[in-house]
Amino acid sequence: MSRNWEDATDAELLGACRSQEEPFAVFYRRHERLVASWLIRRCGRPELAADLVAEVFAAAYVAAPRFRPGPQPAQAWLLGIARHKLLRSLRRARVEASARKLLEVAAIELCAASVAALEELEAEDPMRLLAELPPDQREAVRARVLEDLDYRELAARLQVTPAAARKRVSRGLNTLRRRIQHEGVDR
Amino acid sequence: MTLLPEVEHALLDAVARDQAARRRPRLARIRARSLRLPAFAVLALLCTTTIALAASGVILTGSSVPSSGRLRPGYELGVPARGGSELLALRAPDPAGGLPWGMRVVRTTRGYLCVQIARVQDRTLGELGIDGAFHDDGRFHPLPADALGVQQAGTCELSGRSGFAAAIIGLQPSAVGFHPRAASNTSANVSRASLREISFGLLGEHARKIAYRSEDGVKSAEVLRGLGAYLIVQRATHGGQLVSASESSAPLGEPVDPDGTLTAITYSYGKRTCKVVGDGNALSACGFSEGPLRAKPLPVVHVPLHVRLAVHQHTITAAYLVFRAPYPVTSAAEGYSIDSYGCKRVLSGEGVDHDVAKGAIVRISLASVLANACSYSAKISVGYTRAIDDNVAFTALGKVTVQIPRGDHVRSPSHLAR
Repeated sequence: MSRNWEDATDAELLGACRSQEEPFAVFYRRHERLVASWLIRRCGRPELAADLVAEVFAAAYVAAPRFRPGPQPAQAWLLGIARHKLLRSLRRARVEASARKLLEVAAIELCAASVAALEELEAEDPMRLLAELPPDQREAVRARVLEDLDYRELAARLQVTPAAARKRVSRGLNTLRRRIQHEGVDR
Repeated sequence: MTLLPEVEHALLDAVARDQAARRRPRLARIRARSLRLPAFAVLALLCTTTIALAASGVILTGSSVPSSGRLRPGYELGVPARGGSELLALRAPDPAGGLPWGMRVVRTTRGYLCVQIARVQDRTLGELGIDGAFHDDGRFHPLPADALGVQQAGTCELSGRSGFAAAIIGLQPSAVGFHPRAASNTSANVSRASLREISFGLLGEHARKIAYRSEDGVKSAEVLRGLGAYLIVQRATHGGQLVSASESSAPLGEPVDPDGTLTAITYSYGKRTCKVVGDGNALSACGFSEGPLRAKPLPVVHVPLHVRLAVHQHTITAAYLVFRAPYPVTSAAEGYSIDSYGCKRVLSGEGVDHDVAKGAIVRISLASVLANACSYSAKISVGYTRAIDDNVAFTALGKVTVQIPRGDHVRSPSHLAR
């Protein structure tokens, strides 16, 4: 009997996605909205955001064996890839496509419904969900994801141990993911 | 229900193909062999010029390949650094004979490490006047030292990286790089077998050996010690999209995953030897784990930011953000960039792609900001970016609001001065 991957952890999905197709499909569906939302609010162009979504997940697939399960959740790892791809695109003034080339992902023609969906995401107040987090988690997520602090620096700023800083980021990102997914269903 | 079904389909199709290909390596080899006879027959018809040149053994030298003429020392790629250009002692035979292929490594003044691939005669890298190139004059055309642009086959990477493995599929035997004419040659009237697949790379000092797919099965070869350089030239019959390039790379000291026709790379770290087989496991295969981020934000310095608008008859003809550089930009790994906020969204901004002395005036065009502005004001944040390996640290420097005077309007974005 084949496994139901919907209940698998992110680490389990990433561990299995190079040998089976379903774990990657589940991983994509689980985090697509988070990545798309992150990207569209930074680049403001649906076509560019869609290309980068594909690039981020292609890179995640290629790099999946390098993912190390730990206190840092997969969302932070994924957003780290997104940040890198976006910056690299801006720096080179062209959309980063190295992972898509490596994986030979076909060119994407965005339909009107997808453009509209991305524009709706973009129109949401970008900081609202973050602002709704408990203060300790909000500060931890903001510093880790937006300022790119490492956990030692974050711990010093929050005046907690590095382990506690990791835990706050992990909880905050998990909360964000659940809320984003919940809103996605309700919309 | 996914947000972007077309993205999901494209990704899952690619993943399915990737997994099927890795499950059927034997089938792929058989298919490659089956192409040998027709490929060779067509090659005999289409590459007569190349073969004729090979038979003569001597090729007259023609004019140099035109320089791009746009390289400047402190801008974009920079220019070749003094003494930074080296033709490696590495030669790869062409499948149809004639001049061998070689590789030149060029370090630039802005910290790039560029690699160029072309034919070699008398320790000089160049292109051939065949297959429509250089009016079919049959001569050898040397590549100038500053041929770093996209016209030539090769790649440029920030030199903080230890190495890369790359592939170009669909290069012409003349070695003329990708440009519109080369692209048009991939139409149905040109055989895939008349084009070349080039696998090349610099794998770093720890690389020892590569294994690669060929028409005769998997072969192995030693890399050139030191840089870990390798170069393989084959007919473009192995699959992959024509006129495409791919590359995998890794930060300093880390192993690189195979790319192109490579199936494995063997590294030696002291007494430890490891073999990386191309499924993205390079780090773990060699006993490494992900290192910490090496690029750290610098101390925040708040600098006065000024917006300069040029207005002519109520039309804004140019717009710039001006400030003094708190940090120098000494290579392509550093720079200043702006993001603009407006219309409830974050818009990508522009930046500087040239060297800047500490304290010098930095001027960044706001053309794209104004082009995307949806009201009479837009907020801009300025930052300093610094890349080390794969990581980019962003140091925020300040924010400023651009106010478009009431009654004025912005000239068409494409006509705004930059």
